[in-house]
Amino acid sequence: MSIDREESLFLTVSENHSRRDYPEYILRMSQPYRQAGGMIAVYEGVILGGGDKLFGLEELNLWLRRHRYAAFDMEVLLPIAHMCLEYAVRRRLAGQRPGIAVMAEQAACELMDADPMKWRYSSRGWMSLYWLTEQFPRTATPESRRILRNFAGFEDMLRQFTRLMEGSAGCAGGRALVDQAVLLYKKIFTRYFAPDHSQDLLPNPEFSEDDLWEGEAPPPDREELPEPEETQPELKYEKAKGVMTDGIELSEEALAAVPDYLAKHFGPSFQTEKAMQEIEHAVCVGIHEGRRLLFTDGLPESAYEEKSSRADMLRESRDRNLRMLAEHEDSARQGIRSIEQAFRNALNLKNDPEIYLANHGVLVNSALWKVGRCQDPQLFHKIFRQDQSTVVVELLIDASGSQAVRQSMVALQSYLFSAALSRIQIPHRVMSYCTYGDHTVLRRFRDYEDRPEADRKILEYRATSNNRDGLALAAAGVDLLKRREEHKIVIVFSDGLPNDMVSGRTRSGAPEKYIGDAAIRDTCFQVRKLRSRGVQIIGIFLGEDDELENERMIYGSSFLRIRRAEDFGGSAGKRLSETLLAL
Amino acid sequence: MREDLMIRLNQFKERYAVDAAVQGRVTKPPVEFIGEEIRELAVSALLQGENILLCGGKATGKNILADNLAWLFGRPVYNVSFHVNTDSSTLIGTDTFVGGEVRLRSGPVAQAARYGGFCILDEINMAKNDAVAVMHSVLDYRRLIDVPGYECIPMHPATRFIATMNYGYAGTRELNEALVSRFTVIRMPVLEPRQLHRLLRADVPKAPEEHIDRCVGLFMDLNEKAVNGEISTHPVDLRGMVAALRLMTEGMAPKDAIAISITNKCFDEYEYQLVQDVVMTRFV
Repeated sequence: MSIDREESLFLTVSENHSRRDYPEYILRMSQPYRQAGGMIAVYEGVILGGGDKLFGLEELNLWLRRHRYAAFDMEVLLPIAHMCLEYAVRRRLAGQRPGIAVMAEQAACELMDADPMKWRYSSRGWMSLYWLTEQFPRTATPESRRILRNFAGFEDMLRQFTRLMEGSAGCAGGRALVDQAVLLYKKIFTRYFAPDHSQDLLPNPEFSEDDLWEGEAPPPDREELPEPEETQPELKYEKAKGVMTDGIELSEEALAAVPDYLAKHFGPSFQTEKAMQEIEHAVCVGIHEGRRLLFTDGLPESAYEEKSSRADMLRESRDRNLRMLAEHEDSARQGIRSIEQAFRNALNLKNDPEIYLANHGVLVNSALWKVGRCQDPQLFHKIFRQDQSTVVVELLIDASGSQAVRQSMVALQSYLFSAALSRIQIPHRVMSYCTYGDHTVLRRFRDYEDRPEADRKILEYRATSNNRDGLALAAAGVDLLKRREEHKIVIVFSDGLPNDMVSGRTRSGAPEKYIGDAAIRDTCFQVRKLRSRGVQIIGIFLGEDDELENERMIYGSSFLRIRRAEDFGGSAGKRLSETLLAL
Repeated sequence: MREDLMIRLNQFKERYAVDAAVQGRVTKPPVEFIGEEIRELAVSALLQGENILLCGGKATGKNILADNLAWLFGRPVYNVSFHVNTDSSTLIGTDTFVGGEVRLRSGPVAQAARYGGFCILDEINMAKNDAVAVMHSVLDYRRLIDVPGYECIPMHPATRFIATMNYGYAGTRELNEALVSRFTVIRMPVLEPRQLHRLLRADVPKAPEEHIDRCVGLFMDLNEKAVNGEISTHPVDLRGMVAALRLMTEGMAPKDAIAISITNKCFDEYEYQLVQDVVMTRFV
């Protein structure tokens, strides 16, 4: 279960922690606020949670839907209902949660400053500006004050509006609240404002010409409007939002061809059908629902020797990785030693028993001569046995297209880790992951108990396609959690940008797309889920500076940034040592 | 407490007087356990000669109950905090050199056995199962400790073992059947707001009612989130909440007090944000 701040607050304030979708009209009502981001979206979680607790969202939805059938204009009614709901929640929960008022004011401030709802461009939107200014005078901006001057002469209407709005705090149930919104709709919004509601929300910074204040309409505002700014500290995966697109949907035929394509380009599955079903049943849930997995050992050596364009590509890719290793041979050797030392430092400390001389414990015969000769003879050894449990490591490498530019470096770095782990005989498995269509491919380079020679297989690493980091982590975790070793460590080489733009079939009720926030949230969740089961996870960051925030969000403080193989000799080796010791 | 239990409890105390040497270990716990039913359940089991395992989540009052039970029975308390390196020498004892000869230096379990103490085995599932196998003969019908090289230590009839265990944390293990079968298990219920209110009031008597209500609300919010797997159990920290309430009562701004006692304990940025949001709704 991965949640964002808005959903977290929704669950907490509603006092019902079962996951549920918002009903249709509630979703439509709150969508613009949830999309606005910052405190507006966070506070929306409080409004919806409060709405569910006080009135029941299903109940509200039911009455809103009835008005839809009664030919009410929902583009007008839903924002009014939102205003009423916000006020009712803020007033009624103030005693229990006094902080809500402060959050409301911060959200109002963002709404006034950035105007993501484009209120200032429609006369009806001015009512929202008026209401916020009334409720939170400190949020008024010079521009909003100027706009609100247009209400001069309509004080009676404003008084009636305020009275009706305040009436929503006393509504006993969902029906009463929707009725209150309907009252506002009839008495204010369709009485004083133009009947043609569809003309009300204008896409351009122009004022509606059909509103009541004909002749009094202010001149169109030519000022540059400030860009929406994020002033609130919030989950910093904004960068991921930047790459958000609608994604690409594959046709049924294209999806049907994926397994054949994968078998040809990645190799056959090494899992039995039954085992695959079990794993998919366990991990392909939630946002990964309907996805498939392919565990493969890669293509046989003969595939590299064929005379075909595919074989050329494979050879070229492997040669490039091998060249990188050859060019950095010295620093690679040094790197392996540093990583080995880092692991040794962490593990030796935990394996060697500490022995102190004491006056109780295991008798030391050779010290018995001290009896009667020394004052405090300390004849015993107190043996403090450190945890002798063993360690198993899982190396997961992001093999998505975004790594193509640094493919050889990624291959080299993961090879260094694998080689170092082999030298200290820690069982470890190395897999890369990427996603094609609805299949996530986990390419195994070496298994836990393989001999050190298998490490060089990593140099067959290729970066292509998309990446579902969360699913790969969950899938790799299935085998890892079955291991007997007490310390389980996962090391993930990635750029902190999980992204699966190509999606399979879309249908109603299908999980949301694995892009942007949703992808980061899921990866965060999978990391924490494994951690809660005793698995330690370290991220090795391979991306650009501006993507560092996502990595930090996903792995917390347990991540390292290594730019070059030489780095292991210096600070990166030391930092790895510290990270391992902290686990 | 039920009258019949009180009578039997007094009979127990009269029958087993406490040795003067360990009188100092019979101490009144600072906080009274809130939860009559659970307490009666535990007292009945202990009166029947059973050892009990208190099993429950964080902040359910396992240790408070254990201390309260020892006080009700008027027995000396021996505390053992279990960890991965707990072994037989930590529990039973080890050799030492006194008066020119090697003797057994008794561990807490051996001492409890000798003086009829209540031995509290805290977080028993943190130790490895094989390390606590030495406890098997102590806990079952044999009721004796056989230390190699020394005489058997028979168990005083008033000796009882109260183990506590947290379930579901990273690093905790499941107890093996052999060990669990030697205990009667009491599942600790989650603290209710009313009980938590009483507890906070008892801990910080001068705290304003409003502050206690806020702390109770926040604690319940965080607990619900942890129970539903939205956050870890890190921020569900009753000790932290008591500390925060104390700081608020001493004049610190409530938000700051919560920040340093609760929110800042989340070292994970993702979780920190979620906790911070919940705090924001409760405290101005």
